[in-house]
Amino acid sequence: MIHLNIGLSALRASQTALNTIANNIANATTEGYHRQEVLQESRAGTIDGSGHSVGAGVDIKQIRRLYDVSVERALSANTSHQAEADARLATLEDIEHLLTPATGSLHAEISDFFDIAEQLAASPSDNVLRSQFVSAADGVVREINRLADSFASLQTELQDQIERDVASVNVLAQQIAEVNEEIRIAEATGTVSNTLLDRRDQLIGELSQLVDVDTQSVGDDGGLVVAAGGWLLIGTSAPELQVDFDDNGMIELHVDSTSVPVNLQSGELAGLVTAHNELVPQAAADVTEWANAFIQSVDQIHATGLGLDGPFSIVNGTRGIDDATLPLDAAGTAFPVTEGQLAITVTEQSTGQRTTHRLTIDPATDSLDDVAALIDGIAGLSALVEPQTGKLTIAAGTGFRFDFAGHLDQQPESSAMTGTTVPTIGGLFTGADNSQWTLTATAAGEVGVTPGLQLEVHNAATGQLITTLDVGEGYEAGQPLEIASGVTLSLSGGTLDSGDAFTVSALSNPDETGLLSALGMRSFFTGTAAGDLQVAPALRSDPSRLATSRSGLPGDTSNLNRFVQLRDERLIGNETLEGQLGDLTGRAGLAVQAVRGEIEQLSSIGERLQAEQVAKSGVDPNEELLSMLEYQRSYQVAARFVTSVDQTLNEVLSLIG
Amino acid sequence: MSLRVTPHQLLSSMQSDLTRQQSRAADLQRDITSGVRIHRPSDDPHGQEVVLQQKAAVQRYETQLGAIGEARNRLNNAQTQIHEAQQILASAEQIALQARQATDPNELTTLAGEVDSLLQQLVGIANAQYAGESLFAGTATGTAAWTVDESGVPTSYVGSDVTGQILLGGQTAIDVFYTGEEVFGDVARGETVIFGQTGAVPAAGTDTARGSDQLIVRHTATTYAGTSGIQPGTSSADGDTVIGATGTHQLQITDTAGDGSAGVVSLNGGPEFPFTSGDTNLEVTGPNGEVVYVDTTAITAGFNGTVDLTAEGTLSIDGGATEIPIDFSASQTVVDGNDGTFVRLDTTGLTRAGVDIVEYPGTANAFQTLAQLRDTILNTSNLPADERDEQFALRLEDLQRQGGHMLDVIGQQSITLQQLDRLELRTEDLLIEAETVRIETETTDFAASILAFQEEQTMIQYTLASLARVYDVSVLDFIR
Repeated sequence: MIHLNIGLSALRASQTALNTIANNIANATTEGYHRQEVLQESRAGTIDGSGHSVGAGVDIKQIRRLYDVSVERALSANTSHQAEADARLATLEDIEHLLTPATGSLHAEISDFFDIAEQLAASPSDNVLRSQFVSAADGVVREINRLADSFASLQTELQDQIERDVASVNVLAQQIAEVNEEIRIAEATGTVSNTLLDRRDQLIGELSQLVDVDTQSVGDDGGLVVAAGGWLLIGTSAPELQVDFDDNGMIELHVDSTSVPVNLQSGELAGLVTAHNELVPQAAADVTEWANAFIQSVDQIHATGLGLDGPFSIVNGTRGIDDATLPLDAAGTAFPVTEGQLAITVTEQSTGQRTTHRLTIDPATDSLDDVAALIDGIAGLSALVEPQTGKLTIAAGTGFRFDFAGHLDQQPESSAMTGTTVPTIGGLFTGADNSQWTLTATAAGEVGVTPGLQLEVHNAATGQLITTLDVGEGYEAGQPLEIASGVTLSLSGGTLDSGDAFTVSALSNPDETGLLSALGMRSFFTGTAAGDLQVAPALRSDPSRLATSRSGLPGDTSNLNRFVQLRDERLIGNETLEGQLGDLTGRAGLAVQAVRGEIEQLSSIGERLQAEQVAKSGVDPNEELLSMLEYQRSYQVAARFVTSVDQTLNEVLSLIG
Repeated sequence: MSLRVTPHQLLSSMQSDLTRQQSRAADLQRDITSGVRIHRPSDDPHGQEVVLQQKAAVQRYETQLGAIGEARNRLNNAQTQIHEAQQILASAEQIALQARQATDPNELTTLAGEVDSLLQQLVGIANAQYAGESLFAGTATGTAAWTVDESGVPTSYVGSDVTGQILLGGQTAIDVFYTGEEVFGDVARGETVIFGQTGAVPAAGTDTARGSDQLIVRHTATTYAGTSGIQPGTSSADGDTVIGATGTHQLQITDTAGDGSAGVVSLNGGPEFPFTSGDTNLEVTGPNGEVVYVDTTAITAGFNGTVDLTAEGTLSIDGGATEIPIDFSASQTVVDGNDGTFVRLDTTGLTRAGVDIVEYPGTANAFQTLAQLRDTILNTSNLPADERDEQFALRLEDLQRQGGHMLDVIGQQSITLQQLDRLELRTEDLLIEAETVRIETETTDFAASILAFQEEQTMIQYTLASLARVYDVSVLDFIR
């Protein structure tokens, strides 16, 4: 008996195959679609009347997704890593952009600052150049503040983006949970739709863009999705990722209400968190370190010089500390204070007599109150710490002025001398380090008279003989003789006894402690690099207060030269200020370059994996067309078979009829 | 095993390639059109650092060249002024030579007037400014270097005693603002010279008084040794002109009456003056014009002999404001109460009161030298011809010394100017070097970039062409 069912099964199988092909062609460009194929199997045979076993036709065993689990998993991991690197790259490019040298950039402004300092050093009385110098400092400040603001904005933007991404993760997790639920139901009814599985894979792919997804979750149809470093477990329900902040304002992600922060391995969110918590703060810290080095150095130089307005009657500190009773080390000074001496010169206006007082300060034990008490103990000065602000004020008494320029003592300590001559110190110290010399008479005699009368000059610290001064016959009393580095000695008419000695101190750095800049005493700037930095208003309104000298004279460029020399000082690590800025810029460029390289490599791997994924799961219309022809022909043949059977049966029926 | 490739994959792969090629082509095009190959640090991080360093260096060298130019202008200006000053002193020297020979008072007055005129010119030079800054005030550039008295003669230097320097390149300090003392001040102290009749001579040791002083030797008291009975006359304190330790001067008394009522008295072997017991203020003059006033009312009867005098007095170099008693020692210090300077005198040979002129050669500044010359021409000290001539010699020496010193300063400035020239050349070389490195690092290598750009364009064409070809083939074309 010819069995129509066989033909029918063939027609049905071909029909299903053609439908599958049609679906493949329709989804050839659908993102996340995996091509499907029909798996057929022959029906079990039956024994016909002649006792032979004859096949019963064909059945559709399965419509199968073409899916390579290992490739899909690798692709998911690659996607996640690439998204993480992309996020980092975007931030690094922003940082690079901020540090890119251009007209008006910090690089240009700092170069201008030093250039104008050099110009001013060549024309120290030029008031226009003085104003330009202050203006150039203003430019540096503006750029420091702009960078600080930009880094803050960048962090805010990153925070917003992180919050948006976290919201997206939660939405995706919820959607995955819903699909898992649908798959579970479908499994219960016996058929799992390939579309559902594709949908699940698609959602996991999207999730892996944002956070890392455990590779075992990919291709595990309907199983638990493990993501976000193992903290996000998505089954048929999904936990929520939350954004929190630690005490330093750094972002922490938590799942539901757990206290342990999520440690993301990859994904855009991981990159954003790294950018927010590490890259931007590091770049900002680098710039702040640079700015603080600049501010502290310039302030220190400025505080220890003199403007055309000469010594001061009052100086108000512009930087306060937290607690004036605590040792300076723990008092919260704007800049670190180190152990050493601070020189304060008091000038008696009526006589012009200058006396330099040296205060020894140890930040480990001395508080600001202690320092104020020391200053208060100097005749002609009073000092006060404002309790609310922690700022120091020093005021001169009537008839006195003071400064921190570290003048030479006009009259050295000579109480041990028994001769009648009076030594007087003059000149301008040009040495690089604080120095002290002991001058000793080699014999007794009358100044300017006794042949061979000499003073030996020894380095007080090392005992090394520096020079010998002839003060006997041929020396004109009152005339200066150079001791060393621009410091001169003159002796009045009188006598020296053998062994008469006195000590001369010369200060290159009148403030070894850094206290003046830390407290903003007569500083160039007010505030710090934290964002409230500005050129001191008094200086801005009156550039004659610019401390270009250490004597107050317009042609004295000694302090200005220190500004110029600051350009070549290796203040940060082994770098100059300009060098360090170039280094920061170079490092920003290198970081971008490195991440670009990383992305290129990931992209290359991704392309290869993509090709492998497409090789397995992609739809080739040509291939589908060929299959279609095959099934079309199969359908036609089956139909002909049914027609033939029908005709055959009709023939049989005509015999009956 | 070859991979199965779908048209979609082919397309997306080619699109990806195309994107990369176009991106590279765009970068190259930007390099070519801008002429710069580093647009952001990541284009070449190390190159960016080099560019930054070299740009800063170029800017700095340009600033330094400007500063060198500024320093040169100041030095040239100062040098011109000093050269003028030196010419003034040379003119004064000619006038001094002329005046030394002149005897006509009118001619001398005219010559003194010419010196005065030169002095005024010199003052103008000493207080000269450049760009509003005093050229010869050291670091005190904001004020005039010398204060001038009513007659226009500089009285004191009020500038700074520190030479104003500028720092070039953060290392080389160049002296630009010379102090007034360096240029117009004294040069080198010579031996002190005293003109006059008092018998004071310079003592050993170095004096500190400067220029010239009037040494006033004033008599204060005369005492007589022995038992002659002679006593100082009523005008003795103010009128005696003798000065000297015991025995320097002597009176010879001869009692011609035998009872002390009359006789003769002479001083230092000079003419005899008759006296009587009624003379309370007899003027006795010595052979050199020295005078003593004596009281002969109590001459010891029958005294015939010699009486040693002790004539005390004071010394002053500040017009009598500070008087120092004469101690007739080999070294006595006489202080000027006005400024604390002093002169050491050997007073052992002092014989008479009077006013001497003390000259401190080499200690007068250029203005004092001219003022002294004027006074010498006018002979304001009324010196005798030989001493006046000697004073002229001192003036000429001072003028030559000052002029020579100014030439030395000009020489120093010339050396500094040469140093500036060398520094300028070196800075220019460094500037060119830095600029070259910057250009080499930053600018586009046009030949390489254009070739690479052309290559990318060709690649893009190949990609598009192959894409079109491959995608053009389909089974559809073969199905009927």
